[in-house]
Amino acid sequence: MRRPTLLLGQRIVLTTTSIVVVMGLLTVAVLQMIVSQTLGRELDEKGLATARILANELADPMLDADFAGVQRILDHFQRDGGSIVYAYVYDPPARRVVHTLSGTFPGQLAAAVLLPPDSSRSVHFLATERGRVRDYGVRLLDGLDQEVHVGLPEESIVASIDRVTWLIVTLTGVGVAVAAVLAWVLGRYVTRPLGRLAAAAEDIGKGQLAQDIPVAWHDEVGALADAFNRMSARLSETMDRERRRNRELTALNAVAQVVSTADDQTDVLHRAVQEIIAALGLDGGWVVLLGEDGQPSSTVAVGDIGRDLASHCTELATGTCSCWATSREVGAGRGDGERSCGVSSLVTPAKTVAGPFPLFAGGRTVGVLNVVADRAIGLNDHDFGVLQGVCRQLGLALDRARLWRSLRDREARVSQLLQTVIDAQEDERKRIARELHDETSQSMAALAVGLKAASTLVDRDPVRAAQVLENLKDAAASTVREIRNLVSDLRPTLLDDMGLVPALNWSASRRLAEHGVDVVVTSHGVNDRLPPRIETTLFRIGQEAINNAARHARARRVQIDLSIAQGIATLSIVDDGRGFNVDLATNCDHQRRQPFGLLGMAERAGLLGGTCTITSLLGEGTRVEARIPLDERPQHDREHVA
Amino acid sequence: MRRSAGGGHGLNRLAAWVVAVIAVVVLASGCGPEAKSVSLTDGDALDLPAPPPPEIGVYSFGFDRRLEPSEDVRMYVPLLKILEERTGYRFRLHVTPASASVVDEIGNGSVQFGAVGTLSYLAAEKKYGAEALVAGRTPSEDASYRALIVTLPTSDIHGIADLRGRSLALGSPSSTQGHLIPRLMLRSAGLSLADLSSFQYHSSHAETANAVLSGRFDAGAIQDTLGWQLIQEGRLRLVAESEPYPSSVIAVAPFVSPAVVDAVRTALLDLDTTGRDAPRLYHWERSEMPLGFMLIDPSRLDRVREHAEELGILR
Repeated sequence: MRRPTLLLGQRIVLTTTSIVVVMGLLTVAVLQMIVSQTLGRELDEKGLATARILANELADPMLDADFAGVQRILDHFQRDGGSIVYAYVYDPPARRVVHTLSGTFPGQLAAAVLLPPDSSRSVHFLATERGRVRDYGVRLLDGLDQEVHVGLPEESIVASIDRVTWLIVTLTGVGVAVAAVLAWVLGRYVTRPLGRLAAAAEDIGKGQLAQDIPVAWHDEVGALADAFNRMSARLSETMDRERRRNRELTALNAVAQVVSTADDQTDVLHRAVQEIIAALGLDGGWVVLLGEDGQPSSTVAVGDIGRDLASHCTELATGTCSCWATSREVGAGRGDGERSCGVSSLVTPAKTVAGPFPLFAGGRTVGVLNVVADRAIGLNDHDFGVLQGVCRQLGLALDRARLWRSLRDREARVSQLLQTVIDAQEDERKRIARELHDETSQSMAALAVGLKAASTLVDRDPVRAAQVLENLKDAAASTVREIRNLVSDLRPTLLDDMGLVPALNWSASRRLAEHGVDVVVTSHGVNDRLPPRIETTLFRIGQEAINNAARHARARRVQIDLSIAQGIATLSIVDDGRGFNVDLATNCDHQRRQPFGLLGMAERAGLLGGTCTITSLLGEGTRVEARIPLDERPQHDREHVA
Repeated sequence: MRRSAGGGHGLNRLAAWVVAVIAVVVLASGCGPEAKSVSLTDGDALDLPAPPPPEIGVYSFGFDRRLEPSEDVRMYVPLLKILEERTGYRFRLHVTPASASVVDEIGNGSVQFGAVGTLSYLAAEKKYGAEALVAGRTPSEDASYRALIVTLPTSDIHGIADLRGRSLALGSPSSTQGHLIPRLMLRSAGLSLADLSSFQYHSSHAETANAVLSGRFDAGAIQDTLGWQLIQEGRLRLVAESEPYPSSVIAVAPFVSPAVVDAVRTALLDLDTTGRDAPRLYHWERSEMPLGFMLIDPSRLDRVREHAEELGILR
């Protein structure tokens, strides 16, 4: 069964009134009891005092057996006493009584109020035909048996108690009425702010967290309202934070999925920007990619922004947008600052452009992100944080794509280099075979024919035979030189025997000096032999550079220098030849034949953790510089810069 | 709804409390001391309670009236309480009616102990074989007292001889100080009761003094303690003071057991009326034994006995 529901104010009124009623009743009861006891006690004291006074007056005549005098005293006492009901003196041993009652003395009265043997006084309550009477009995004199009794009516006490009771009841009634009114006022005073609090709490329960309860009271209710406001504010902040985190997580998750599933750079950027815009509720956005030289190289736009940009920002459309410039500063991307480009046209009273947000990869800015947002929604610090986080992910994705591309290019080059090595080996074998066939074999065949002719002439013409043998000896010596040259081309023994500098000097002299090129070979800090692998590598790089200079440079002077400083062996070959376009020469796509000689030098240096740079300008000679650290470490531990 | 249900329970409890308090108040207001139902008009003297039976082991203590009866009672009741405490026996004060004498009550057994004057004791001894336990100690230190003849301060009576032809108030005929000694003083002055214009016996010294103070008699013979008090208050003037005579005694009936007699004697001798026991006593200084009690020298009573015999008082 549904119980009746009372409002708080009604409960306060009811409770307060009930308390006042209860307290009033208790007060009535207690006061009635106190008044009754007080008046009764006063009446008892008065009655006993009266009885003692009467006993004193009666003592002598009673002891003198002057009963007429006793009766006279009692009659005067009765007459002057006013409300006294009766008075009598009783001598128990003699069963004599002198009294003021009319007619025969009621013996039952004396029996009812007889003093106990060892008691000197008594109070008895009697119900008589004249109402309630209090009988006060005392001894005529202490130590004697005679008793004196006085009867006093209780009407005075009852009347006093009734007057006090009615007064208290009346006051209680007035108090109840006043308390009810005050309780009603108090209830209104207390419940009104509580009602506001309750209404505000309901609104907050419905999700209206922006509502603020006015704190107009400096008491517990005010403190409660203040606590409510703080709780609401914290709740709102928490919800906003959670929403932002959800948006952030959604955006980051979406971008992460895109980044993890897409390889194509343009596709990654396009889809990532789409996810960001969708997650953050933006109108659009675009990414400007920067090339190696730091200049804009391409643009990826999402939403209508692409068309708007195309129509408003010619720099962006042509890939020369300069928005990225501000991104180099820390804290870039905070908002729609002054733009001198066409992007400023996108900033309207309803729209705002936030950015640029830099995309970092490999320690440099590889692009910038700009977004267009509705001003009504706006972007806060957390949104900027999300965008910056997304940009970091995109930067990593771009860097990953770049590394992936670089790895593929490198794998291609290594594959081609391997093929080149194989081809070079075959070419070398062909050259050795050709030289053996064309020169050494021919020389040996001619030597064999000459020896046969000489053996024929020994018997017939010894002089001629001796002349032939002399010629054959020269031919044999020439053949030996050819074979030595051939072997030296394969690997000069000078490198193993004398070291790198003599070997380079020998190679340069043999390849360049024979063609009239002025060769200068110098060294600095080379006090000891270098490790064999480093010597071989630097010799091959130098040999390739010397061969290139001999074949293509048309140089007049070549300077070769080997220096060792700070644990690095540096070999430089500088010529004053005609030079060439390094990019074109090293770009496979532009080479009719593969530039494996140049690439081979870099690969060789890279295998030992070193580098090989080729600097050349048309008409201004070429400089090849190989740097190899002496504390040789595996190749994968070093950054290879070709 | 839970909240409303809780509020309902609270209201029910509140209502229950209110009802309970009201009930308690109503019940409490209706309570009062129980009254005995007695009719004051339908009287019957036969309904008077029966007289209390004689108390066994309770000794009655009588006394010669000296002052107003009520004052005598107030004076002796505390003495009996002290005796009860120190002897272990119970005593009850007996007021001898004016029409009777303590001597006869000792003789008929209604009184076992009595504070009596010398003359009364001598009569009780002679008639009933009573024994004197102790004598009252007075400021004279010899258990003696005197009688005074007093008059109003404005009276022209200055000596006993001036009493000739004047009226004299006397104590009871059995009184030593109020009758015997004044008779001896008159005799010494050559006067007799016949030389007086009138005389009257009074039941107590106080009545005698009132007779003089009221002007009904020209002079009066009273005990010395009361007389000196009134003289010092300026209400009376001394006419003559007697020689010292043995003071009042505590007499005991002959049939009281010796153990009780000894116990009472010891307790009386131990009474310290001016020190330890003074706060419990009532105006003991007005008595004829203001300083307590002492043993009796029987020979001292002989002269009194002779005078009483001579005057024909001791019969």
